[in-house]
Amino acid sequence: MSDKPITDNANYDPLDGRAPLIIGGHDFHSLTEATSKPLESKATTAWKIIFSISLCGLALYLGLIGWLVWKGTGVWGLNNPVAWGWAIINFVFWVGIGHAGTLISAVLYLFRQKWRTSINRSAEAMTVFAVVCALSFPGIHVGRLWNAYFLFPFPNQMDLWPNFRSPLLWDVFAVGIYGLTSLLFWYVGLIPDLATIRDRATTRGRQIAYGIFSLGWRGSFRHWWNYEKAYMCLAGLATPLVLSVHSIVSFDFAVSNLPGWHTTIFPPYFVAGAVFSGFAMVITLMVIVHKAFGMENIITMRHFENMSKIILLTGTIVGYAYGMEFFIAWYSGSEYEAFAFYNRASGPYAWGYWIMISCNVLSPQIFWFKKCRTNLVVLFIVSIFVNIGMWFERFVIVITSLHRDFLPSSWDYFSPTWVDIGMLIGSFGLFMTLFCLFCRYLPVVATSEVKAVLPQADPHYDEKGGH
Amino acid sequence: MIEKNKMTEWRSLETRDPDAELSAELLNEFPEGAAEESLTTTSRREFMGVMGAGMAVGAGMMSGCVRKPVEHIYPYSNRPEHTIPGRPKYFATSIPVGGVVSGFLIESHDGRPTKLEGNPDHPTSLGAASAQAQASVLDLYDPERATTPSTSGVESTLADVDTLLAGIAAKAVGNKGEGLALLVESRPSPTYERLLGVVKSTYPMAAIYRDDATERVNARAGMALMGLTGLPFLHVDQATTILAIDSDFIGYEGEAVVNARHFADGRRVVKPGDSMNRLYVIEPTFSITGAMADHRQRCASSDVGGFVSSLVAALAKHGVTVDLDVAALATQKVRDFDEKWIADLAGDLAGATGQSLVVIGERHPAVLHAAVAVINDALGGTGKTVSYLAESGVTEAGTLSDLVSGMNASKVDTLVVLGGNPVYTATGDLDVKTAMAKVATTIVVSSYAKDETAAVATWHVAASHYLESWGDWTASDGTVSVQQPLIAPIFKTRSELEILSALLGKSATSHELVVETWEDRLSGKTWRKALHDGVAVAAKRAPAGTLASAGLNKALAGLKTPTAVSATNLEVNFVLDTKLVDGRNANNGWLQELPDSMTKLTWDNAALMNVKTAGRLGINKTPKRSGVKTYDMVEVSVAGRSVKLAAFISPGLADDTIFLNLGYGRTNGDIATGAGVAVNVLRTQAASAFAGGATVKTVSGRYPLASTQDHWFMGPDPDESPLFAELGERPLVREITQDDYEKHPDAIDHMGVHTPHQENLWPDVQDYSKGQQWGMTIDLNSCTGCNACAIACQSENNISIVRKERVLKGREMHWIRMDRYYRGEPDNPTAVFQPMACVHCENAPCEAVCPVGATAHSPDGMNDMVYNRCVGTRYCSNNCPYKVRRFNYFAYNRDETVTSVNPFLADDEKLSEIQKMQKNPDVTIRFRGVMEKCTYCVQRVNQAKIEAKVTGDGVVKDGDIVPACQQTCPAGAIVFGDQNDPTSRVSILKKQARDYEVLGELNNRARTTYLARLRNPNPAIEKRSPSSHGGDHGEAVAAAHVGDAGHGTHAVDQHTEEKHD
Repeated sequence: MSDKPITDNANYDPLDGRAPLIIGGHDFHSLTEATSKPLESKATTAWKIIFSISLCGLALYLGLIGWLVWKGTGVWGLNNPVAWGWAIINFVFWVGIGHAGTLISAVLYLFRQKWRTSINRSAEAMTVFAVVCALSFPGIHVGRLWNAYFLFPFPNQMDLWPNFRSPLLWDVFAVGIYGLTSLLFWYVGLIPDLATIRDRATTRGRQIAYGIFSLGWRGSFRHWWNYEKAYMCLAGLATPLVLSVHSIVSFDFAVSNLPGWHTTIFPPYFVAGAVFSGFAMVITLMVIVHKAFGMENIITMRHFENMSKIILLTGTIVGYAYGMEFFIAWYSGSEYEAFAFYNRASGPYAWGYWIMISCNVLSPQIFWFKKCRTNLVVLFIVSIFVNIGMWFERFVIVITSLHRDFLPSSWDYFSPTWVDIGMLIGSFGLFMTLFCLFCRYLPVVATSEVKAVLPQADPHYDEKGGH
Repeated sequence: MIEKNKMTEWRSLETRDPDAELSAELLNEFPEGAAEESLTTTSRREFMGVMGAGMAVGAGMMSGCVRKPVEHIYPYSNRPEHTIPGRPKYFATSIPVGGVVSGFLIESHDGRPTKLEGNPDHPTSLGAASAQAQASVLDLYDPERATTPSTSGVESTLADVDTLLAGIAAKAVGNKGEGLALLVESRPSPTYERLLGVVKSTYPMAAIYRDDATERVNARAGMALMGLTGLPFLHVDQATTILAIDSDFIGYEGEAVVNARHFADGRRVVKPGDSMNRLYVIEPTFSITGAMADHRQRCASSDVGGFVSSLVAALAKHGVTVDLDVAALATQKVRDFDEKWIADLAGDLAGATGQSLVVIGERHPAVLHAAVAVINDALGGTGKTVSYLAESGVTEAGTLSDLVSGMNASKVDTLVVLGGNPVYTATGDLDVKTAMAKVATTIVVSSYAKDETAAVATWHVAASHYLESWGDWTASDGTVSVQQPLIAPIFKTRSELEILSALLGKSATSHELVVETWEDRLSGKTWRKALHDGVAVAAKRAPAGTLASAGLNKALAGLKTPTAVSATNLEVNFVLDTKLVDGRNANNGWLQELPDSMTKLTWDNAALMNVKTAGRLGINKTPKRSGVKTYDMVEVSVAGRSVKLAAFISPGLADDTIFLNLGYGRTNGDIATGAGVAVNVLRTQAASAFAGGATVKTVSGRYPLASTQDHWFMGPDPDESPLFAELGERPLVREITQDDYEKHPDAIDHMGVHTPHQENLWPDVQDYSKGQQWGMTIDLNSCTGCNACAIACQSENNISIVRKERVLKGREMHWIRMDRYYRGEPDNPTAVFQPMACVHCENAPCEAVCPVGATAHSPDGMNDMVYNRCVGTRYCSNNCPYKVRRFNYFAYNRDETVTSVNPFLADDEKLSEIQKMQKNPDVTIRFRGVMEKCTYCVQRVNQAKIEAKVTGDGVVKDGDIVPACQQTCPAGAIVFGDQNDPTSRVSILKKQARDYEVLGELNNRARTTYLARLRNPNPAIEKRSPSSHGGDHGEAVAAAHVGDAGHGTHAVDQHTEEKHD
């Protein structure tokens, strides 16, 4: 092994051992410097521009929510057969986005996948923000949102409970618990890094602010001991949630009797789709983040390649599910079911279906080629395609199933209004606002965890003839 | 704090006189033990204390935030006689609706008439009422009704009107009425005719003109050709074989309400093998009568004469000699018909001597009405299936055309228009507006000051609604009823009778005038009985005499041969709208928003044409979408005049004919304005019903039409995608021939999807085998799709209208959706109706998914909506396979006072004080954000249950609960009752082999089931063209639709399927 720092860990010869996760010859100090820099330097113009645009999106979102509350649900394009529209599509879309974060931080942690460390912080942040976006939709989607609290089981003078048979109620619990667990998990992981930032703080304000949130972390053995235990426990708790949340979200559809919704394949198919879309979003964000903050050596091509492999896998699972839906629609012998799928692929919304197929099934196939897996431009474009495709998947499921169901006399067509479109854009504004703030005020890389996967962290590092 | 909040009104003893302990608790924000107490074990009283304490604190904080209008409720000091608070009263009255006099019962809540129902004792109602009649109540509360008289747009007073009319009367007395002209509508009313007679005798020089689109001018003239003064009256119940020649006699024409009942009575098959009447229809349009036909043929309006000639010839071959100048009639024939079809029809008619009936539509000329009368006579129908009843006392009057020439010749100096709107309704060759300008004083009596005619008049007198004034009416069978008002005039209005009286120099009230007519015949008890029963004189009209066809043959000799309708000689048909008639109902929101039975169009008329005609004219078969559906525009020109309107393809119309509905394009109010296009300009006095030689060309521009149901697509085209051919087959509407039903009574059951074993995901909420359990049947064999139920439901249940822009988005609120399915070739389909409302599933999919339990089952098996629990997730609607739930996307009932102060709410539907008066107080007004749907009229169910509890053993007797839809159904197709009682009507119907559940395979266990439709085709015609419908084991009108390339549905013949245990 030469002294020259390794700069390419994606095309690393396996005969030389495992490819290093962090390249560019980072040591503990340089790593801290690199990850703390975005917090401690002045905001760049690029950040300011992106943040301003995001804030505009957020303002649009809040404004439209106000308009919705003021005028009524009719400001959306909903109609009689299509009683759920973009709000539900956006909800499922954002919940799905969140999944990659939990998968990376919890499942990959339990499986000791060390490459997760460079991306888990951002992915978890993405999860929390995506859940915030997601949760905003069911709340505003109801017709009388000032009564939305009826959905919670609270003691009341009428001894009235919510209907525990309703999947929407399961949703309330599933997504609520998921959001809470994700937030806790993210925060616990942040504590050591927050303490680092606190210790490096040069202003009183930062010292106090980070001081409060680092909960008096001093890095003692006991702290680390408790921290590792807590982290492990939360990872254990979060892991089943990866499967349960989107399964339960899928129950909103699967438990109904609507052709196109009423299918047993939905839980695994939704989970795979969620992981698929989540990883696409992680790639989208990481491509920007690692370039913007000069972290190419920390978030490396190897990370991207690993993620693109997961996209290829989950994209193919999703493709299988699409095919299987059609097979079952035919095999079931139910003409309503068969028609629902015929209508998806050839009805008035066929364009949506084929956008979904092209983006979700066809575009990831390019990742069979290593050249594509390790090309940032390709990665970025495909990740955007997958994001679009997964939004359309929910569009296809929600809209095309509803607009033509059992009785042809009730059939109609759904067209979104400017409020529908504005709210989708606005939810991205909310997400990006939170993410921009995160990039500015919190370490985007889990520095302490990355340090643990540096070669120098190996107790036998020196014996191997390092520096 | 308590002292300060001491209330003068109180709701319960606790709040009025709080005891010391409670007062202490109220003052304590956190009472001791509040946290520890389990709510489930807390007594109600303790709980109220705890909550009250919290509320008292909350109220202090909230009082500044919540704005609620101040309301005062005062009790009666002395209870008016027969008034029980909360219980409506019913009064009988009578009124012509769409030109047909019928008797009604009006429901009145605390002096506010809210709903109209048919009067079961009245022979032209039999308890039923049409959609138009049901909707007429809304006119009383139209906020745009004229509220005061006005002169040249300036508000005036009734005193001024009295002075004006007194002046006219004084002048007329002097000059015997010279220069005075009255334009009246058809008013078959003894008092009205009496007053007109007095006008005529007092002012011999005064001229009376009559113009009314609903008047049966052609039928009357046809009778005159036969030497009779009178009109034909149908006895559909006596007929077994009926031929309707462009006559919507069970839909919207003439005595359709009773005809529909009698027609349905002839089709109530109880068991396989029961006999049924048979209906043949030949028509240019596709009427709902045509949809009920066993055999239907299309022909252009100008070919109808030719058809009659062919029929006469065919009847002669079957030994029925028709006393007609056949040769002269034959000149009408320009096109060959399916002579075999006519021969079979003639054979059938001839074979049912004395029980056959031929009906012809009012649109056709007098000579054909006379010819049909001769045919009926030859078939032995006179006096059996049709009677000719003498009319007496119809004041002779000139026509509108006479009036216009009189005005143009400056022979009129004072014109009084009593009802009617000639500036709008006049044909294109009569310029009423210019003519009226030449008249010094024009007085228009109508409901809207913005009426086209009122706008050009010097005076407008606001007319009283029929519920505000007295009158009397003679029904077509001679029954006379008194029009009894239910409310004093709300505004400064006058009734037509009062105006007539004032013109005679008197100022009698309508009550005095009616009493004056009747005082020598009815007084005291008999008068009160007449008012109570709604029938004053039950005497039948005398027969009009015997038919003499001499006059007819003379008229026949003068007939000219029409030009054949073809692609180069298009025929334009002008038809009275089934909702707006000639425009008189244009400002009625219920009717504007009611989907037309066949086209499902709301808020508009259009140039209707069939696929072939549209193809030739280069019109796109499918609308384009840009948010909403937009349609091609066409310019229809006849004789140099033209109108532009949207083209709409409606299957089943005759080739090369265009249909234009009258009554649209009015401007008399907010509802009417913008709805459709006025087409009267294309009509002429000579061709007011249909005109040949029309040209139609597409013009630029597109127009959105709000049709609530799509045509065409129900599944893949079987030719284009044979692999998917079965996907369009849905056994929703089931139909079978009577013959097949006799041979295979279980065939209807076999049309459905068979599922071997059905299990519930959740256990039943309760034991449905116990107690009274409500259910409903709808007989598709009698349902004509007339929409009466839809408006009855709207009226009973306070259902909002949502306006065209929201219907375009698919947000209409009707609880009853009249599903219309076509089957067969696109240009010659048959049609079936299926009223679809909440079917009240026992295993309701909506209930399981509502997260807050806002839709739940009642112990008597109804699926209830709890509006104040509903948060509006709309999940129930998604999970409803029938899609019968309706969501309040906006506030459709917002208080006008709130909207006026808030510009952001300006486009909400406002509810003014006067509109609120129409609302049924027994039914909640739904707020924005809640779901609603058919409740089986739960308010009526509960009222009957309370009644049964108070007066008996609590068991409601069969027939004591009548939902609004069943109550008004002219055909008697809807039956509601206790399905656990084996003797109830509904259980007996449900036991029939034709009873089936729509989507029964989903295991919803719907309480509303349908009785399959039976067709009774002529075996001779059937044998010749068996391909016109499915196999010999009956067929499912599965995907009863018109496929893209003209493929109808195919039988889902599952007869061979094995039986499951």
